[in-house]
Amino acid sequence: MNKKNVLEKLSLAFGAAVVIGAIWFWSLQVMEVIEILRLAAE
Amino acid sequence: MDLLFLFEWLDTSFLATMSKAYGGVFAVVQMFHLLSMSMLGGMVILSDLRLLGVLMKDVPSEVVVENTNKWFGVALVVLIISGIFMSSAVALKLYYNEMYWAKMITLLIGIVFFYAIRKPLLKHDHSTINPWALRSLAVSSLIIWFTVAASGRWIGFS
Amino acid sequence: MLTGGSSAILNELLLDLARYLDSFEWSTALHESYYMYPWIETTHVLTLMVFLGMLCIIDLRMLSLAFKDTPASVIAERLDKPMMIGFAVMVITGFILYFAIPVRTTQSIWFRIKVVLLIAAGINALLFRNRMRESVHTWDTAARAPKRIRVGAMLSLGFWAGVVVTGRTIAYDWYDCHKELPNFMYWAAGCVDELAALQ
Repeated sequence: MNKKNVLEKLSLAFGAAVVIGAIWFWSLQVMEVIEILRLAAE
Repeated sequence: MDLLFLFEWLDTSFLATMSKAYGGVFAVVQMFHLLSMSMLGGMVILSDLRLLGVLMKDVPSEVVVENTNKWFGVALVVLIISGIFMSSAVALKLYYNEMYWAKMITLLIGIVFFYAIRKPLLKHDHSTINPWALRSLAVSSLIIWFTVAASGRWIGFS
Repeated sequence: MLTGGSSAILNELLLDLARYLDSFEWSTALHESYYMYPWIETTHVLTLMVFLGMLCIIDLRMLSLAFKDTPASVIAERLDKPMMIGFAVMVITGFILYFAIPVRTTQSIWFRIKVVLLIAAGINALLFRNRMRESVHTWDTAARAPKRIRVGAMLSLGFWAGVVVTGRTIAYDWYDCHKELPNFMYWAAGCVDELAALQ
């Protein structure tokens, strides 16, 4: 396998990891916001 | 690995003396941070949207990537230098700030991704690259740099 | 009253307008909100990447610092739409931010400088557009734009840099009206009611 092929595979894997990571990170933030708003409303 | 010593050192360094004492200097440095953020963001948006076939479709994507990469690098250097200066003003507070670490980790991932994967792959003729690899590059780059900028702004609020 | 004449009347009028906006429940709710205000402010700042980012690329082309081999008109035309989308978002979020804190902002020296710079940037952009339209066919594919165009591009970058820094400094209270300031600053900030921002 040449270098270009490796980079292509890497970018595909990286893209998947970034999408999953971003969904995880941002949903964590959103959940925190919801929690704080809930506490504030009480 | 505990990096607290780095922040303790930064907190007592010459930079901190400057950034804490002179609000005006801090504001000017922050201006450079914001301006180079705009530049980096502009380069990322243009090149990634070109790779996705949204912007500047009549200009070869090799040309777009080549021209934006150069200024991306310039903006990144200014961002890091001004960022270190801004960090020095509140170094110890930042050490205990989760958003700050989220930003630093994403930034590190972004830099490695940009120079180890994105740039070398895009050196090849784009028409010979797997189109899904191109899309993947563009989407992950947009997500990463948006996250870096957004979590950076959020440091000030958290 | 620190200044006589028409500027004092204008400042009173502006403050009255600000107080009127401040009397809306929405204004206070927004200012005191947990997340709405920070989110709108974050959107305002992050959209810089779209608006100023595109503007920066166009100006760099005019200064022959990027895209030297691409016709200048292609860069200017293709990036115009994303730039204006960014600008629209910035204007809308900017108005909302002003609406949330109208009284203090009206009497802020930074806000006033920012508005002047925005007007200057707007005039420069119009002149730049005209000059482009008149002359672009003569130098479109040349790496180096004519001097008038290059000056316009540099002024554009300068004005917008000023808008960014004064926009940021609105948040600092260094020269708020309730502080002891040199007289010209009271005049420039349009201080009518020194304690208005604290109420």
